[in-house]
Amino acid sequence: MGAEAHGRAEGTYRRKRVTDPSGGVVEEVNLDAVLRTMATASPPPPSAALEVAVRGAAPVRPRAPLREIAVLVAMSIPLALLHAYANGLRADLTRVPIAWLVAVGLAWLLAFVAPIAAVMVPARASVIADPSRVIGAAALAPAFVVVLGTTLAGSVSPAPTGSGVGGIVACLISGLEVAAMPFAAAVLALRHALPVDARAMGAAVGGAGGALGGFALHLQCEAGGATHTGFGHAGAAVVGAIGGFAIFGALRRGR
Amino acid sequence: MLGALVQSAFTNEAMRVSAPPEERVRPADLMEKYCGGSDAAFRELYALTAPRLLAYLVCLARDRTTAEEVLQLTFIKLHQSRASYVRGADPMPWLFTIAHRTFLDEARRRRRSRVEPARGELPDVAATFEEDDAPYSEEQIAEVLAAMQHLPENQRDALVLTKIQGKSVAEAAAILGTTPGAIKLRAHRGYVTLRELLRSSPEGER
Repeated sequence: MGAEAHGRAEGTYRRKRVTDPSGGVVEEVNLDAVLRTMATASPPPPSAALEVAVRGAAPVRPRAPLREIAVLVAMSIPLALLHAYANGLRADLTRVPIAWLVAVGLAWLLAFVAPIAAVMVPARASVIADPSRVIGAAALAPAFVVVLGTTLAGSVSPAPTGSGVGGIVACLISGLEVAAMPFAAAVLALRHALPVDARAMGAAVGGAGGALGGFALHLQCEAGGATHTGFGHAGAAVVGAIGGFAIFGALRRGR
Repeated sequence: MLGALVQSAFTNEAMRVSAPPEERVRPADLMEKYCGGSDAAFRELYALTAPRLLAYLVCLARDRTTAEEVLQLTFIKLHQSRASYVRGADPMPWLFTIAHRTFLDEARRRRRSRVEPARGELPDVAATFEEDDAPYSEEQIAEVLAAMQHLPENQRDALVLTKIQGKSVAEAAAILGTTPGAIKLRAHRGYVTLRELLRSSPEGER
């Protein structure tokens, strides 16, 4: 009885071996201790292919995530501005309140930079991005821009006019054009990190690119209204996140 | 009998790399030297990390040959990705992540080509683990390995990383690409189920 009670204690399980017809022996086994003995195994030497690959390999410079992110942002924002300029800046640019223009513009940029940082800057003393942050960024960035598009950028917009389904689709495509550049740059920067949590990373990067597209549209499209900015401007982030999820997943499978 | 199995499980003792050096050298330092082009640093890093990675892979694959193949692929991927290393970071969680993903890719590839994954005889697989004066036999390890195969994959992965490899919940979450809360839950459920399976296993009734 005592042995059985003890055998049911935390971390142990009971094995009973019948050793002779008159009775048995109860042997206590500590599961934690058994598991601990399974922590190491004697490995074979490196394979010939591995030896060949490593021998005389050229030195490489380790990643510098902050520098990468600075380069990506420094390249992406001017390109988004150029895209907006090339497509024609909004006609009411000089009439809209400057505080609104700047505040909403910064909000779009925040939705661009934050997910990129979550993906590209690893957790402290780690090579891997923090999956909680990546998953959070992948989910929250598109949600944030949809709220932004349907409230601040849309309904409260000084130009509350819609432009129909055609206008929404045109803005969506324009936003995705802008999203393509940072997305491609992030794929290049993260190409060797793709074994890690690839689809959530793709969703975060795609959503971020779409948010940059929303920023460019904020400067080039004067059509307001929650429906237009919600679907047309913020839609690029949602479509970008879904596309990034699919593309990064496919890239990882193809490796 | 078991002693003979232990001997036969290791193909050629002379071919094995020496036991991992004591952890006086940090994997992060070796990784930096390796990125700088040092072959010797790679070899030291291999000797230091491969025993743990192989044990992890054996728990996932339940087959020594498959685990060894995935181990080599893991280091080839590490070599190809070494420019992704971040200076000063601990490479171990990253290595476990690469090993885990490589194992999943290999399992998927075998399923696609309809090749049944190899399954070694459990006592042979159990003999894979180094036993430095361990009080438990290959038989008992084999019993635990067999029970672990009945766990859902995500519970087994969390259990192996936290209870066998001694990773923290946060590290295991980073390796498996999920949240610490999910790891805590999966590891706990896996552990409870494993204990129940072992209590009710035929071994216990003998």
